[in-house]
Amino acid sequence: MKKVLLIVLVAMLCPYIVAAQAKHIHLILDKYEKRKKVESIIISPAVLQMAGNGNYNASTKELLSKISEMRIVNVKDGAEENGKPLSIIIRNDLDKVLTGERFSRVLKMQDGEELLELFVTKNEEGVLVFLATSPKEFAIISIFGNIDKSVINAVMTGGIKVK
Amino acid sequence: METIDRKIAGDLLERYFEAQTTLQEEQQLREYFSGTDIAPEHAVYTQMFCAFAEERQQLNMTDPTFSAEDKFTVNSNSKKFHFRWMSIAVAAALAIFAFLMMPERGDSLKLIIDGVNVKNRELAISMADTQMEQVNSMLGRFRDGSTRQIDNMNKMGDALSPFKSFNRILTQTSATDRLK
Repeated sequence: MKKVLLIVLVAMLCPYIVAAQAKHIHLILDKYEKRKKVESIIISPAVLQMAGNGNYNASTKELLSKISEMRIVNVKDGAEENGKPLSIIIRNDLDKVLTGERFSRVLKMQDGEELLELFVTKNEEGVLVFLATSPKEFAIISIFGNIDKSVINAVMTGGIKVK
Repeated sequence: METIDRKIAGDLLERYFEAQTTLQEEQQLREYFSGTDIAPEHAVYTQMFCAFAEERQQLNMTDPTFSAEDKFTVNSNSKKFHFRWMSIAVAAALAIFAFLMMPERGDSLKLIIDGVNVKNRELAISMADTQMEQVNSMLGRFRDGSTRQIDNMNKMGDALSPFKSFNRILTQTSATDRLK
């Protein structure tokens, strides 16, 4: 009976241990989403659709079934906390998680004053994070769920759009 | 406690069904039915009294009328009973823990601007779409840039190929000269 209990306990805690990285990102976004000059959007997969694919075919359904949630937090220029730009504070918080062992940077692209970075958790169950930095704003676009190659590929090719 | 004989058991049974038996007499009946010397005409009531006995053991394990053996059985049954409830309680506690740990994310769409919840689905979709468009646009430039760079590399390779042929001819010529 004790063994059964232990197995149940481990089985119940496993998703939380695995999803710890996603939880860290959630916590950071939760922390800053209600600040001034910050916009936050939480989107369920039902609202997402594949670009250029009006029909909800099997592959689209399969892809969207892997996404549990999408969150966008946009920090406008001028958002401050204790006289320090909020974008830098959030970036520092995110760097603590994103530069850890469990994340890998897939893309870094500098185009003029705009910088786009893409981070993905090394294990599939996790999160994909876009950080878009420009003089006007700092945007964090995060996609939570089973982030496998098909999801990364769809995101990289601009395959995921909001209705 | 002394086990009653079949005749007394018959009398007690009659009184039992007329609800006139005392607690002690009921206990005697239970002991009679838990034994082996049961009259054939009483056998039909065995199940009933044994079932009552089991239930009673679960409900009243501290009864002084219980024998040591009974108490042991009751204790082990009770432990199993408690353990079953304990496992259910642990599962319930874990479920509550899980519920508390994972914040409510049932909203299909949620928009917060300057700390204020904005219940405007169209605006939320529009803003999210704009954001995704910006990222897709940057990714598009990245893809174009990568393709252009690969094209340039190919062009450079093509441009260098005549030199490679020329170099090959020169090498062959110098080799034949040396042979001569």
